[in-house]
Amino acid sequence: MAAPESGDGNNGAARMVTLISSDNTRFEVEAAAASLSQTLQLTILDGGGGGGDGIPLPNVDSATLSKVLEYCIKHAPAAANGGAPNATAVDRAELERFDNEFVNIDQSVLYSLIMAAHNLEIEGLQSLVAKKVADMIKGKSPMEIRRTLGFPDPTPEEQAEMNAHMLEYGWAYE
Amino acid sequence: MGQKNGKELSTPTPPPPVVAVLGDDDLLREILVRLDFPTYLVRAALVCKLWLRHASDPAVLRRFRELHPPRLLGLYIVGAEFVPLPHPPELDVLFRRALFQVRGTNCGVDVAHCRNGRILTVVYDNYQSRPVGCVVWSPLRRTRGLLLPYPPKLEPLPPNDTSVEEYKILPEDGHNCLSCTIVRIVRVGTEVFAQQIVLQYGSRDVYCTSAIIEPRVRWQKSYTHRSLLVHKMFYVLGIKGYILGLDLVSMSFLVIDLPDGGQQQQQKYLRNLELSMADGSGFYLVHLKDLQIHVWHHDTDSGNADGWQPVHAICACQAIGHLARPNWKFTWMSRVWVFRVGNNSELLLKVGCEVFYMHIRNRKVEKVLDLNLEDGVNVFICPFTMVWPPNFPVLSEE
Repeated sequence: MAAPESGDGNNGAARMVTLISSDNTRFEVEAAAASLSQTLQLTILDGGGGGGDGIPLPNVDSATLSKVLEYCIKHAPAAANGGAPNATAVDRAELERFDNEFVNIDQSVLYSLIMAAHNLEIEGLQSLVAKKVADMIKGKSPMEIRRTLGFPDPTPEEQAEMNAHMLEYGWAYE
Repeated sequence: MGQKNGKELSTPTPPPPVVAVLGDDDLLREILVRLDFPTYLVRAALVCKLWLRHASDPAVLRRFRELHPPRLLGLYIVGAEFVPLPHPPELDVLFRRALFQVRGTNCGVDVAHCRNGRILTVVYDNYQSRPVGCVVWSPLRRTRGLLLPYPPKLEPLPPNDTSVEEYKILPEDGHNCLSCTIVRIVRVGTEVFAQQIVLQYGSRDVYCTSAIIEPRVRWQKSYTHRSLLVHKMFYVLGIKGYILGLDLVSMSFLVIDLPDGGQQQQQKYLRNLELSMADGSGFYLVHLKDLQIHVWHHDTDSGNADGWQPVHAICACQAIGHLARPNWKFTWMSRVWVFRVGNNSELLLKVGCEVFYMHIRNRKVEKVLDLNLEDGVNVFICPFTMVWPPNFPVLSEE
């Protein structure tokens, strides 16, 4: 069944836009939330995405898009406030709690999110997911980082070079 | 929220996300700049050649530094005691070394300079009168400090109306851990010349001497030895209203008059003036005057007639007032010493026996230390900051 094709922003209701994932799933969201994406913002300002058209997103699958929109919907009110300078401490704490929870996910989902945030240019989300990967590798040795991120095992020469560099440059390494 | 739209469409399989993300230059850089400490960045750089190329890229380093300015790790109190500041547990190892290395060298040691994670100590003979040698320590590394024998005294000099000051400093690049520079400013009557001696482990000391100049006002040193080496220029504060600049490459002098106001209140011990590094060209002068902290930028290319440009004026009372003890009076300001911390973004203020750490941009101040009352008043402090810029292996390009 197709998503309802209403929501042109009439009758005081918020304007809605439709996004279409790579696997052809339609998502209907408030224009304000979708506009967190720099990529989508212009199209939406030009009146695109409304009605039956929908904006196709060939690089984002439905599982990822659904996750991305979860983020956008949560962050849209604060973003509409111009970065929410007036936000209360409670609001900020709630967003922070949401963000922490939000990136507590499987690594493959995390990588898909990074790509999507990058393609859609959603600044806050880009920063959030990059920080999450950074947190995963902080303080680890190069070898541990490789394992954590699923790199292939190094060749013996690479391993030897890494060990030598670690002694020379690796700082306070125990 | 999402609903399947009619029939399934098959899409080409994208590359595995991990490869796509970590192979993408922009995304990788976004991750690298969020690593908090330069120590983490260096380790990430060792993961593979691609990561090394990005981690050591100047644009990435610039952003990294903006996001994570090199932090103050602790203070060396002259007499070589190290006082660590509160820090995250990940840095524990580093602190243990900072504590151990200098203390392990026994008595008769002074910390002369800290720069970029290195510490220069001067070792004296048993009577603390004559330096025996210099040792460069690097608590963040495994390298051991080795004694660089002290150069012989400058001879022969006329016996009267002569003064020699020696400034022991660490070089700017820091890639050679076992090297230090001694700059001697020698005054004979009204004439001044300088000698630069580079001490380097495993090679002969290198000597350079400047031509003789005669400043308009007779050179007089300060007892606090406030000097600065930045962009191959050595600056030292005198107490007669000017700074001596010495180009360590050409060994030529530059006499820089202090800005208006900075010339007053000059004291023998120069508690109220400090030199500090600038990111671009030139240097900063911090001047504490009438409860105001004035920060000036000096740049000979600035176009200003005298090269000075006021940058900040901060009311010290307002900044530290809320932390003040009830029995403080304004007279305590006469006992305030100013110390630079790394670049121009932070300062240490020693008020009597208390030490405050101040961020210039946001005026945020925290108290970091209570010194021992007996010797706290006149003690000299050397801030020890996180290494910047980090040192990376050289990329071997095929």
